[in-house]
Parts: sequence; structure tokens; C-alpha cells
Amino acid sequence: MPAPAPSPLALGAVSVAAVSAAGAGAWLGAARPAGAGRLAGWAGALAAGVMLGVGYALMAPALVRADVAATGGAAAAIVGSHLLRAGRTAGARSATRAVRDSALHSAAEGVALGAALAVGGGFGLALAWAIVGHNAAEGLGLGARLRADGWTPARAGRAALLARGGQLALGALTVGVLAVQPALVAAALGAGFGALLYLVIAELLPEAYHAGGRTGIAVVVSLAAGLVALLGGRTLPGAGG
Amino acid sequence: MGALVAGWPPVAQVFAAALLTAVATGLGAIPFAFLREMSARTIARANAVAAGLMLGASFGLLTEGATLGGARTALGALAGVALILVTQRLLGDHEPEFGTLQGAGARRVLLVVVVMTVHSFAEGVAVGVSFGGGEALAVAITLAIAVHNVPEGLAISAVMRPRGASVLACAGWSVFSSLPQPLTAVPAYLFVEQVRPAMPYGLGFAAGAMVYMVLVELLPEAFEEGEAPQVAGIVGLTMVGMLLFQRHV
Repeated sequence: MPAPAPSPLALGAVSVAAVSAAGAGAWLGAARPAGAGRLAGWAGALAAGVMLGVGYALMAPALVRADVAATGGAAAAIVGSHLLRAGRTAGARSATRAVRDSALHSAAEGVALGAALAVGGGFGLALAWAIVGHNAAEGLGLGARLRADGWTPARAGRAALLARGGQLALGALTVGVLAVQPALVAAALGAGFGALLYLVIAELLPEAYHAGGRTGIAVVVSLAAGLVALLGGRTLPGAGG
Repeated sequence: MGALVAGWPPVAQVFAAALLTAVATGLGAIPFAFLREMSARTIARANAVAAGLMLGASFGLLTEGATLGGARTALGALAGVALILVTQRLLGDHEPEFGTLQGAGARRVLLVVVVMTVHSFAEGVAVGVSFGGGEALAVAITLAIAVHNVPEGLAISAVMRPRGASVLACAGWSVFSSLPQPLTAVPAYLFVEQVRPAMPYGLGFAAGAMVYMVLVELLPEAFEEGEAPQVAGIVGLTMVGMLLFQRHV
């Protein structure tokens, strides 16, 4: 039985924070001219860790219950993400493609966020705030990349804000669908996990390894994932100590 | 205990059951008896498979540990990451040899074997503790861990075989990595009440070491020789398969 949904005020606050964090991060990343590549890499590593931690917190309760729907949802999301990725044109990563990739990231995160909020209570809000932090880190990386293509900080900030719109829209849609069909919660949690996992491995980690040494990146990802997983686990009903 | 070996002392039965689970790990090498060519792309895919299996196993360990104690599991995970960091430092300036392997390949295989061996300590404790909970539980846990060990042997073989190790060597080292199971099962059975509070630390330790190993060795090498989207698909689906396997087999 899901816990009560967070209040509209809490939801509104975290939504504004999520979008603002992305825009502010992108502005800051674009305003910093030096070390753009390394900044993007390390920001990506932090974002990857947060997303892995969020994914664990989403999936763990379903695993404890041995919920097949969750693993099925995860597998479907991985296959779907791969098919979407395969449909994109290969080649150099232009500024437009970077913004589009960010929008796709956001959409997948929106599903994960919506599923977490559907579980309700402190769990959903804790993960939502973790995603706010992730948005700032990802915005930093996006801004640095756009700056390398000559975008101004203001333009980068606006692009990041718009790209995050999909996150809010899909998050709200997911919450709405799961409110009407609560039987889909497990599958949605699994789908959120699968989508996040695929994005981390297909997009964030390769860039991170390229920009920073594998040891440093592995440490950052491990610590970030562990912290978010621990915080997410502590907000679950009946979590151990 | 009469369900396993009638007439044997309980301690001997615990040891035999855990030894059985260790030997089962060697079965993970069998698929590699049918692989002849080891192209760069095959190596990348093998690393991706190993990464997915290890991530899935870690996920299961963390989930189990979190139900017993989240903070203790997290501390154990931190210690596991530290173990691999220290091991890497110790190996970093040397050119180790591992059987017929040398250099960077030997170093990577050595790390994987170390991680999986560490992981086996926790599994051995689980077998020993289960024998303290009655016959039915002991049989169920023994079978579950024996079956669970097969993909772990697969993960070790996936790293060793592409680097030129024979199938027999892969099977042997897979079994070796699980030998801590019979060694820890007996003390865990004898001191089950003292061991239980430490379980979250052990589970977290094994998981942390494996996750870090995936991030610092297996994935970077997979990306070197393979395409990131394909690696992501293989890792993701293998991990999900492992999660299903652990929960439903």
C-alpha cells in the first residue's frame, strides 16, 4: 500500500528546485571557460553515482518482495532505451545533440521520479531532492559542453531549463497513471531503474572516464551511489538501521 | 541434517554442504568451452557480462544487508571499496603474473579473483547460519547458494578466458574463489548467535568491493574495445537476469 503522496507545496518546491538547478548549473558550467571537458566528466561521474543510488532505492523494495513485474519493467526499459539510442545518428556530439540528450535523460529521470513519488511519503521526496542535486551536476556538464561550442551562459541556462521540462511532464504523467493504476507501480519502479542504469552506462560513464582517471571516477561514483542509496533506504518504511 | 548425509556429525555436514556450493562455481566455466575465437569485441562483451553479473550479485547482497541493517551494510561497503583501492595500489607498480597471464591482464584477473573470494566469505557464513535454523532452511540455502555460484564462476571465467586462460584454469580458479565458503560456514554454524550481528558488514563489504571492481576495471575495459550503448545493453540485461535468478531460483 503506497504511503500518502507529498503535499502540493512540497511537490511544487521540489519541481521548481529541479528545473532551477539544471538552469543554474548550465549557466555556471558555461561561464567557466577553462577545464570544460574535465568539469563535464566529473559532473557526469557525480550524476552517474546519484542516478545509480536512486535506481537502487527504486528497485530494492521490489526485490525484497521478489516482484517479477519490477524486473520485467527494468528489462523493458533497458531494451527500449537501447532501441531509442540505436535510432540516433552517429557522429560528433553537437550542441544541439547535447541538449537533446539532456532532454532524453530528463524524460527517463521523470519516469523514475514519478514512480518514486507514487510510492509516496519521505521516500519519494528524498529521491526527488537527490535528483535536484543530480540536475545541478548534469547542468554543469551540459553548460561546459555548450560553452565549448560557443554558447553564452544565458543561452545554455535557457536550453537546460527547457530540457528539464520533459522531466516534470513525465514525472507528473507517471504519478497520474500510477494513481489510477496502482498495480503498475512495481513495473514503473523497475522501468525507472532500468532507464537510469542504461543512461549511466551508455552516456555518463564513458564521458566521465574520458575526462578523468578511472580510479577517481570509480571512487566518486561509488561514494555518491552509496550515499544516495543509504539515504533512500533510510526513508523507506520499515528500513533497518 | 538427515536430509543431506545421514549419520554424519552436523559440523561435517555443514562443511560438505558448503564445499558442494564451492565446487558448483566451477560449472560457470563450461560455456567457455564452446568459445574458440576471442576478438576484441568478444572481450568487451565478456567484460560487460561479468560486470552485469557482479552488479546483480552486489545488488542482491546490498538488498539483503539493508534489511538487516542499512548503516552497517554501508560501512561494510565502504571497507570493500577501500580493500580494492589498497589492492590496486599494491599491484599498481608491479607486473604481476597469474598462471600463464602477465601484466595488466594478470592484474585485472587477480583483482576479480580477490573480489569474488572476498564475496565467498559472506556466502559461507550464510550457509553456516542457515544450518542453525533447521533442516529445511539449510537445504534451501545450500541449493540456492550452489546455483547462485554458477554465474559467479561465469563472471570469473568471462574475465580469464579472453586473456588466454584454459577452461580448466577458469574452472579451477572459480572453485578456488569459493573455497572460503566451507572455511567460514563451520565457524558460522558453531557461533551463529555471535555471527548474525556482523552479517550486514560482510554483505556490504562483498558488494562494495564488487561494485568498485566493476567501475574501475571491467567497464573501462569494456568501453575500450566495445561501443558504449552495446555495453550498456549487455550489462543492464545481464544484471536484470541475475536479479531474477537470485530471487526466483
